[in-house]
Amino acid sequence: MNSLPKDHHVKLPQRNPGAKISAEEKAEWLLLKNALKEFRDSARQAAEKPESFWENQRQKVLACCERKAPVRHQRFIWSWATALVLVVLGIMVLVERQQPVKPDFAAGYDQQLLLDIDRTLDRDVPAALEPGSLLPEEIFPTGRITAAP
Amino acid sequence: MQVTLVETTAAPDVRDPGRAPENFDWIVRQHQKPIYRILLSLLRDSDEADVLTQECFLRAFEKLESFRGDSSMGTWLVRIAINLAHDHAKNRRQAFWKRLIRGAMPHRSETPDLHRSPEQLLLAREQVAAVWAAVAELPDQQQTVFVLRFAEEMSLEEIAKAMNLEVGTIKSHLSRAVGVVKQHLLRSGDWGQRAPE
Repeated sequence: MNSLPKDHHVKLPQRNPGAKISAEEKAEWLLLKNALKEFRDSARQAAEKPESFWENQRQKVLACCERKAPVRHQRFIWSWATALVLVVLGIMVLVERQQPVKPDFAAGYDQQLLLDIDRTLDRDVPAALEPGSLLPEEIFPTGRITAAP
Repeated sequence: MQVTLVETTAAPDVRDPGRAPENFDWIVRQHQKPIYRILLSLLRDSDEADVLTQECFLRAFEKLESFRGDSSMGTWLVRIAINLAHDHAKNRRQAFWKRLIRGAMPHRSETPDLHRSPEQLLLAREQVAAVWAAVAELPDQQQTVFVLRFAEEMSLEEIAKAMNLEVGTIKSHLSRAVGVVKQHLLRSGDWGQRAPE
C-alpha cells in the first residue's frame, strides 16, 4: 500500500477553486502526506510479530474461552432452573388459594350437627324470625298487647 | 470442552453458543492482527497491547450472544478494543506521557533501508516521531480517529460505527487531528525546505 486512502482528509488547500496553490502550501501538503505515510508504515512495522507470537496469543485466548464456556453453560442452566422452581412455586400457591374450604368431617362434627338440629326443633320461633319475635317484647315489656279502640 | 485449532475457510455462525469456542478460533485468526495493531498504536506498549488484545477477544466471546450483526465482526471487535484502550489509558495516563517523552514510541526499525539515503531515513524518522508526538497530544477521541484512519486505513463509516458516532463527527475529529499533526510537523523543523518530493 503506497498511497493514502482516497478520502483521507489530507487535501490540497483550495481557498478558491480557481486559485493557484502556492509552492509553500504544496510543500506543506507533501510533507504531511509523506509524514502520514511514514506514520502508517511505522504503526504496521511496530505490530509485526513472528507467527509464534500470534499462535501463542490465540492459544491464550482460546484457553480463557474454554474456561469461560462451562461457566456460561452452568449460568444458563442455573437461571433456567431457578425460573422453573419459581414458576412451580407460583402455581402451587395459586392452586392452594383456589381450593374450597371443605367441612371437617373429623369426630365431633356430626355430634355438633345433631345438637344444632335439636336446638332448632325446640325453638318456638324459627331462627330466621327470632329478631322479629323479640321486637314486641321490647316495645311492650308487660306482655300485653291491646287493640286500638 | 476441547478447543481445537481448526483451519476453516468459511465463516462459521459465531452466535451459535454451543460451538462458540471452536468458532471463535476462526474469529481470533481473522482479527487478532488488526486489533493488536490498533491497541499498540493507542497504547504504545507491546505487552499491554498483547494483554488487551486477549481481553478484547475474551470480552467478545462473553458477549457473542449480544452481537446482532448490525456491523461487521471486525468493527464490533474494534469497538471493544477502543473501549478497553480508553479505560486502560485513563488508569495509566501519567506513565504513558513519560514513555512518550522518553521516546519509546515505535518507529521504523533500525535495519537500513537500501532504497533511501541516510538523510532521507533520518528525515522520515523525524517525521514519524513528530507525528507520534502530535498524536499523543490529541484528545482520546481524536487520537482514536486518527489511528483508525491513518494507521488502519478504515473508512469513515467503519470508524463511525466502531466509535458509535456520526460520520460528520468523525470528519470533524479527523480534521482537527490532522490540523494538530500538521502544526506539530511544521513546528518540529525547517520542513519547508526539507519536504520530500
